[in-house]
Amino acid sequence: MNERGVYNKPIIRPFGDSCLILEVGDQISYEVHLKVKRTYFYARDRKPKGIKEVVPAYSSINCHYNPSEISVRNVEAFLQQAFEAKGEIEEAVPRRIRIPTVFGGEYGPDLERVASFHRISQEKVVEIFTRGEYLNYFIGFMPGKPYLGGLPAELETPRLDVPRTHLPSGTVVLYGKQVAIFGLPQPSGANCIGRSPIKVYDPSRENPVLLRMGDYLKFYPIEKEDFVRIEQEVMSGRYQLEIEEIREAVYGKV
Amino acid sequence: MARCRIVNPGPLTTVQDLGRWGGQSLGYCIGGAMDIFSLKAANLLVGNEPEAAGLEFTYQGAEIIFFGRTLIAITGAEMGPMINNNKIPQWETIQVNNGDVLSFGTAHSGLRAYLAVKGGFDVPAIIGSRSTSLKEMLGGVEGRALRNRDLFNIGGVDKRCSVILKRMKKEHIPFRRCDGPIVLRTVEGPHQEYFSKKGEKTFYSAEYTVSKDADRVGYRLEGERIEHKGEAGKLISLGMVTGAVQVPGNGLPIVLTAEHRTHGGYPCIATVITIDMPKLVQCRPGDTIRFEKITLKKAQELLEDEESFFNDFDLKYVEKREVYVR
Repeated sequence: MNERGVYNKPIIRPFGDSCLILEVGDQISYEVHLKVKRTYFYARDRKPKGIKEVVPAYSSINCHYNPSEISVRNVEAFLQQAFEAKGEIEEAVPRRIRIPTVFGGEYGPDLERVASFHRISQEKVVEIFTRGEYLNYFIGFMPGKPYLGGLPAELETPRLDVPRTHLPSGTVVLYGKQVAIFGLPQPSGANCIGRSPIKVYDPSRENPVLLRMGDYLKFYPIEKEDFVRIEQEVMSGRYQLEIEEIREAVYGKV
Repeated sequence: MARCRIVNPGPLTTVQDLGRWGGQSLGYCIGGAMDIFSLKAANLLVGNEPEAAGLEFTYQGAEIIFFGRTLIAITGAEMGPMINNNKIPQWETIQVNNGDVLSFGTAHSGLRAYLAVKGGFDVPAIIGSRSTSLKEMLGGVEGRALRNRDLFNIGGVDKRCSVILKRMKKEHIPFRRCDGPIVLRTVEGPHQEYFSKKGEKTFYSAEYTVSKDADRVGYRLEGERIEHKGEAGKLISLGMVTGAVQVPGNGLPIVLTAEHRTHGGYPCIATVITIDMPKLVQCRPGDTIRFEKITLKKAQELLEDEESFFNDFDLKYVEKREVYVR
């Protein structure tokens, strides 16, 4: 294993009778993410008949297959090959996407909790939170919902004791080391610190899911009035996302 | 072409097929029919492909009026179906005529029944599937449970032609017993190392009861707590599968069902084999369950047996008769 947790040899194990898990590492790190991403794109684009779907996560990839069409041995061999693949692999180019967000108040009822947990002001929380960029390790749980990492250690906050039953879409939350923005309304025990008018999931769009694995999100504070204006622009399709492709390969600071 | 309209939807009726495959990396759950065996059988009985969209009824069926002549089949839990108030059998093809009204009682045994109609229920496919995902508000009819007056285009049967009516042979109809624990066969892991020897022993020997918290997302079970080894919270979130038996910190297992979320972070002590999931999802709160361990090889042989069952369905497992439609 190398120092950032990528295995030299992957671990492959069954998950029930129709899925194998390929584990490429044992931690949440940028290097493990890159390995997952390469392996995932390779497997997704070359999957043989009988493999139904490959699904990435932080440090593993699930490979769903139909055992009457392909043997478990052949799926294993394919995953091994995907892990070892060298050379050009068609991957999504990472992008930096700016996310306007109203922090605190009715839009972020737990900002106060996070601030008092760390004994700093709410303004300071926002300042620290918006300083960094957040890597989207993968999409999952609900349509369009990113699993974001990169939260500065000084903002790590435990979940609420009693989950909230309803948080609207666009809600920005943090819990433990993780950050998320919701694509659909959902209950959650995470700390809700703000809300964005940007829709990471919108079934009326041609591509309902906005984000891709490997994208970076940069949150920035806006006022309530901006929220209303941007929300209207988003609804009418006039809003121009602030988005740029990241071509340089040395973007590993997460 | 024929049509049918919902007159009374019942407590929870949704359009379902074999699930939405290919969208998990965008966060879409697989979903689809909870009891896949029953939906496939219903579809084959009316001459559809197994993956056609049917209706899933929960505890009580819907009241439905048909416009035009077509073929239907009802499978799954025994719900006392009737056409124009005359009892009709389940697990066989039924011909319905213009103006006929299908209605149901409540489930005598089991929980979910399936209605297939010739040609399937014509709703838009999203990522290749017509199944309803309630949490995602997607698929089926506007992503919701059916309501009064929902109207569907379905396949019809022409006048003056012959149709084949099929009846599944009695010995192949799954029998859902309710008088003792049902046994769910599982494949070990993937996270067996997160549990102590004692915890593992508990899991494979204790009897669990289905709690009130049992739905299309997961079945929470009550019973003896399963002991973890070391820190239970250490697992890095990963993709989940239907049948995964998650054991959160409180030690009580949750079996993931059709609409489970794509990813999760609780260690899974075992995974229920695909062909035993229908047994679980026909259980109601209060029903009891035991878990048994089998090898992956055995589980895959059983799955292949079921696949050949459906491949040879018309040849071996049904009695057929041809009738002439006037």
